[in-house]
Amino acid sequence: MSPRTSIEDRLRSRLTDGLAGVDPGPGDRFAAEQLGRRLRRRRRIVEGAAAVAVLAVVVALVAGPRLGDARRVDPAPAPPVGGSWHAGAPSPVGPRWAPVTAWTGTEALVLGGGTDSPCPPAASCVAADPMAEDGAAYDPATDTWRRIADAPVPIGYWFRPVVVGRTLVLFDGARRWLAYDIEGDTWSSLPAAPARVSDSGNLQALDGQVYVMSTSGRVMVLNPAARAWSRLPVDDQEPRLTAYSVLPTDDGIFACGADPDVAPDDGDTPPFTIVDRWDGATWSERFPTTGTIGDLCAHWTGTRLVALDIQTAPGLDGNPPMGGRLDPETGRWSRLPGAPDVEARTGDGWYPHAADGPLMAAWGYVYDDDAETWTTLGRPRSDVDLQQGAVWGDGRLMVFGGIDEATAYDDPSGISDETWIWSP
Amino acid sequence: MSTVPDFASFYVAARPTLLRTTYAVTGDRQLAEDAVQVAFAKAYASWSRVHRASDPTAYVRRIAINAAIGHHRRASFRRETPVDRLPDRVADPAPDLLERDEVWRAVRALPPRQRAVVVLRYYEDLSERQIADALGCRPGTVKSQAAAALATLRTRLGELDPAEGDRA
Repeated sequence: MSPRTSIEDRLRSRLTDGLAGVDPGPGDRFAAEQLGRRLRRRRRIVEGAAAVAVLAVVVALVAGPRLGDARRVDPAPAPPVGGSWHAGAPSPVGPRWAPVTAWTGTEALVLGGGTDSPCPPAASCVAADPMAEDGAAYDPATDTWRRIADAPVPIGYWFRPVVVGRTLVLFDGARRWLAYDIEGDTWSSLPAAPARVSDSGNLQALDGQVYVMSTSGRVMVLNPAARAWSRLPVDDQEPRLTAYSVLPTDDGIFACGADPDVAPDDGDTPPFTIVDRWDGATWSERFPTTGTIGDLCAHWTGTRLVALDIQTAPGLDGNPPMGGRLDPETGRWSRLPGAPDVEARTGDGWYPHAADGPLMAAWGYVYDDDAETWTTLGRPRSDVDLQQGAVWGDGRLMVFGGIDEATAYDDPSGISDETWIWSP
Repeated sequence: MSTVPDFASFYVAARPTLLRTTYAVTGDRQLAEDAVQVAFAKAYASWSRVHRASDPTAYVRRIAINAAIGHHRRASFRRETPVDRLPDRVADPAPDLLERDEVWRAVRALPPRQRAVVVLRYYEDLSERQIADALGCRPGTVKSQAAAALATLRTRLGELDPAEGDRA
């Protein structure tokens, strides 16, 4: 019997062989340089709060005739730069990239992260990036840090944090579950989930319990205090969804997924997100199919489920948005109001990811779902470009560590221990 | 002569792979051409800083992929407009061999972000974190998108015996 070819091997060989047959042509470097010069000239002109608004126009100009046309058809002005940045005390555990962060109610926990030069993009690194086990807590009210007990394992960016009462629960995206006792400053292990977890990239909790979706679409519930797992009954709404995430809220437990039969193999029909609600006793409700393929179970604002994504879905009928929001009170789904065009981004700002209540930071903006406003974050006076850890606390966005992209891949001194706080 | 000598060689060296990657992500040759050109223009605008990075390709890739995803298949995007000068030649469309390939067609049928993850992982051979950087999302999102994509592809393609080949 001959060996079977894995899907991964087939993808590698077919994509490599097939795309090798695509003739890239010589391109037009001179046109690229010409456009680049125009962008550079305009950048010199714009400064301060008006910079982003002006640059939105510049992007349209440098985007060339075709992109320019697209933008004229569907203009989306970049929101103004807002708020202010100020520096906090540097972390006592030293420079880090992509530390894991969580807000306890009074302090930001900053855990692990990379301590050595990260593997450069597109490089083939044999060894995994080393991650740290230590961490610290930052109090923005006093701008002070205190070290906390080392974690029992290295904490990397793939860990998902959620604070449950006075316990920080961490999940490594696969099997390992950890608990950090915030008051006692001690770590312990939690039992693994009874079934494989579908890692949605977030960990969600409500009333002292952590909710995750199994890969088979069953909601599993961890009680960290009891160190025990339970499961909700099977979502019996028809047709059965390919469920991929769960969001516990005080309006019910929401399961987000898609109807596997809705999107045929034509590659054009969007697999729109569908949301079911558990009311505490039954899977009582299925909301009308939305118009987004975004994960609406990514965040709960207090009144709405929100997928914060400003892209549209290329290649799908109607070019649907990849973000959106669902109001469970009315059952209505809508686009994110006033979402800026993804191309309006300057490329020079910071792009921290964090959400708390109606405030969400992503894509270089802060979106306030209650006020329906967008604010460009800009960047502080820092050499850091990316790989920061970020968390909201008391209405402020705290950003920790990160790397200077120009140097950090070669030299660990390009990794930052900086603390920056953005206030609206 | 360019005032930034390194940019010319960078353009020549990096463009073919970036174009193929962007094309694979979008499935649209013209859109890929435009997105890559814009990305190089932005790199040129910041070249004094970009060229100091150990891998300027990552910078250009991130811009190109996100620009391409954001504008894919808008009718207006494809509309013919006057240009200052014509390219030296018109690049060939994707070869028939590629269009007939079952794996290629299955990848093109994936939702856009899943398709991007698959292309960056299996064509560019990027890590989870590098893909997250390129797409401006969390590594966990990459992981879940990759898992969903592979599940779909397994359903559509199966795990074939190599002797069977692919159905063209």
